[in-house]
Amino acid sequence: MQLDRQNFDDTAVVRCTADRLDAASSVKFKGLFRGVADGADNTGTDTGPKRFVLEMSTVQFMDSSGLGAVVSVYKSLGEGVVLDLAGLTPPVERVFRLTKMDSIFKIFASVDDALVS
Amino acid sequence: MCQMQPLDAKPNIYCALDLEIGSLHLQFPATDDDVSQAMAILRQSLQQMELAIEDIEKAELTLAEALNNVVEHAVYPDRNSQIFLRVEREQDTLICLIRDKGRPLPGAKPPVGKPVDPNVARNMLPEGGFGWIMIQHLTKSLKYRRIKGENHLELVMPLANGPECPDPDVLGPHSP
Repeated sequence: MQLDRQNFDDTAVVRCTADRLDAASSVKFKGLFRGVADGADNTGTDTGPKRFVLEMSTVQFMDSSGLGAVVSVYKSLGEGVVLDLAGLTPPVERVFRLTKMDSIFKIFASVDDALVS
Repeated sequence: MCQMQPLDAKPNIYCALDLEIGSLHLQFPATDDDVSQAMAILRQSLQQMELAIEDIEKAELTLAEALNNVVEHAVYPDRNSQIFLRVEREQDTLICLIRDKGRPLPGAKPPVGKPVDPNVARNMLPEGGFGWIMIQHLTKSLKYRRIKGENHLELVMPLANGPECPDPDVLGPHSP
């Protein structure tokens, strides 16, 4: 698993390169995300990006542990910082839908779509 | 039924796949990593059984959730405890049995997953408790029995794009 961050104005795009986000990898995901997010102060002060986009198009499987990890990093960004999702594969999108967590996150087809919105 | 063999690449995992009758048997240690690897074998095996991709994805999600539950609650922290998984295709259903020697399910029945309230404050959002909700949505029957010190969880899944519960507010076929 690898997480890479790219900044576009006020938005930080984090690409998660992994084929699975499951019980075996969710702890690693949380640690890596905090690592890339901490590149700037994201605690709602002026310096950090106001929005993160998590790109997950390589992830072919996510379970409830993976979903819990995404919710956890969302909470850790703090009030006032948005987390959007992009490039969800059908099995990942299904997990958000079945648990109703698709109402918490904005889901975009691609990073390009997320950046023009 | 072919003999269970350890896999060359993953000697922890014993596997027998019979494409004639459409059955897969797996045995593996109760750890997150072994569940992850067992699910990769499940996916390949269901592809060989020529299931539709959507059915394979749903089966993998359902079984991974049930197996994670065994690893995290029933047998934890015994990493040497073994899990047995049997998957059989019967016409338009997939009949799965998970056996383990861990602690019984509380109340001796599968818990009813509580729907997540997405309207709670951000810092109160749940980071777990999603597993049984998804299992209930994706199975048409879910039976638990305790037999001779073993947990037996039978999950029956509809195949070929059978209906998912359309509204997650409705707790699927298992609510009282």
